[in-house]
Amino acid sequence: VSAGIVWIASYPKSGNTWLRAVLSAWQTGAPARLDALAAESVAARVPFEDLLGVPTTGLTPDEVDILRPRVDELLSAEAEVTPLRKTHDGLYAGPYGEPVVSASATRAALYVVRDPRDVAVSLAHHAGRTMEWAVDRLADPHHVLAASGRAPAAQLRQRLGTWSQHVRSWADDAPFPVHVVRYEDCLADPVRSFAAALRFAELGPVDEEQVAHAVNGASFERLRAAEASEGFAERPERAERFFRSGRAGAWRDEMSRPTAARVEAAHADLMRRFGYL
Amino acid sequence: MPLLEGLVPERLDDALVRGPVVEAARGAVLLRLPRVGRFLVRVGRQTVVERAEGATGADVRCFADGPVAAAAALLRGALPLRASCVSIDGRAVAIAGGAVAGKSAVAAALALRGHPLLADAVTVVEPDGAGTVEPVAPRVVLWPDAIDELGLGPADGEPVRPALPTRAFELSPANRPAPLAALVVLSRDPRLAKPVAAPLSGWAKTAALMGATWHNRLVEPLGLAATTFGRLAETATQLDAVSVVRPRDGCAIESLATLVEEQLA
Repeated sequence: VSAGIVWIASYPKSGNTWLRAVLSAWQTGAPARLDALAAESVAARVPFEDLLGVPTTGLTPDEVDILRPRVDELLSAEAEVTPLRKTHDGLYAGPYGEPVVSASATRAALYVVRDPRDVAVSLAHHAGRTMEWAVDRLADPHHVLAASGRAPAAQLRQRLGTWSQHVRSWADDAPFPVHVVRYEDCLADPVRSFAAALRFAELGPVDEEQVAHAVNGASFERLRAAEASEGFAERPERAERFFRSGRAGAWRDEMSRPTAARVEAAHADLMRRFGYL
Repeated sequence: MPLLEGLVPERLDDALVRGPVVEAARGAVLLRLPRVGRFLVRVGRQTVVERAEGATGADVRCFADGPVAAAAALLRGALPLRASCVSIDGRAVAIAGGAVAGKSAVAAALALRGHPLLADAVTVVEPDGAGTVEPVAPRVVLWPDAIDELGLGPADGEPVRPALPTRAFELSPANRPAPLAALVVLSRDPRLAKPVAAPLSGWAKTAALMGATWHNRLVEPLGLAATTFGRLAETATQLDAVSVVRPRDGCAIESLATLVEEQLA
């Protein structure tokens, strides 16, 4: 297997953590542990600074974006096993025109896509905001995660762009192989969907029985129970819990028709392409 | 020592370590900061900086006080820690921790309580057997929320870099050195409801000191392993170490400062 990073990529609230949990359970053969999920976030400041030797709080977000591909390359060059990295970045050019994700350090990416109406519902709960606010974020080309304004965010800034721009950037414009997996397919047939993703990632031989075991070890109920008993460091400040509902089609109960219509109008092309319209 | 402005090469020909920002060879460290400039640090020589186009004096100082000073310390056999430092009753207390752990904010709170500030961002432990920390760059860099929480006036601080919201304050700067007597390692755990302090001993203390050493990736390739580990072991025996884990939300800087004072009392 060639070296290089395998990205676990998605717009936020689209199933990234679930995929990481299944990967963890599959790699370890044991139930997923929330404090040891596979694929650390590419935006975590601490490991980034350890590789860099300078404090990121002294750098502007654009300067960090200039350095990010170099950090990928160092990480990939030094890795003894395939590095798995989680990211919510849109795959856009940085200040010097180079994408924030290094193509030469990358082997492949698994990209999870989810019905943007459900993404908006989940995002609203996650951020403790209204559906309208969430729908506006999905349509905002300047939407970023972890902007450090009055206090430093624990993560580096990640540029998301609109939901449609995000999906296109990974599904169509990536300069490396990308396997796009629908969240809804993972729910409907988890073993088949995750087995296909694992085969694409070439992380080792994929046996469906082992994948079924991993799916069971990373089930929503199990993750939710683990969060309730031990907590989850990735739970956002304003949300009661990270693992909330996880189902497909929640927007039908939780989102007004006019609000859903706004999402559909803003993202019609890609929603049709992925079977959401 | 002031920096010399001059030409700095893009690369070090004989580099033993090449990172995205830091390159190091025997006796020399090169730091390349996009949009700020390149710094060349050499043993026994004045550090040279070549500014990037449009970089200000403040942009340069932001890194000169931090990683550039750390590189110079490493090359002359001192121990550079990624830590702020205050003097409590004549004993230097280094406050270390990962990114955004709150090192500077806690140091500022302690300085406002009358404990003189020895250093912010980088604390240099001299190789003199006593572990002396000299007062350097006696200003502390704070974010707007911390400035408000500590009751400081934003206008009393200087902008750190034109493009950043942080400001630097001169709070109770120390005017005399102090021997390093304690290491506080700050970290965050969002799952906690209140801060938790615990003393570190034995190997955990040495490991904490090693973890706090600036860019310890350079140590082995530069042939400094024996010196540095010797220094670490020697320093660890001289100090008390305590881990302070803070929750993400609702943890006042003042309560952390009190916890540090109590742990070291």
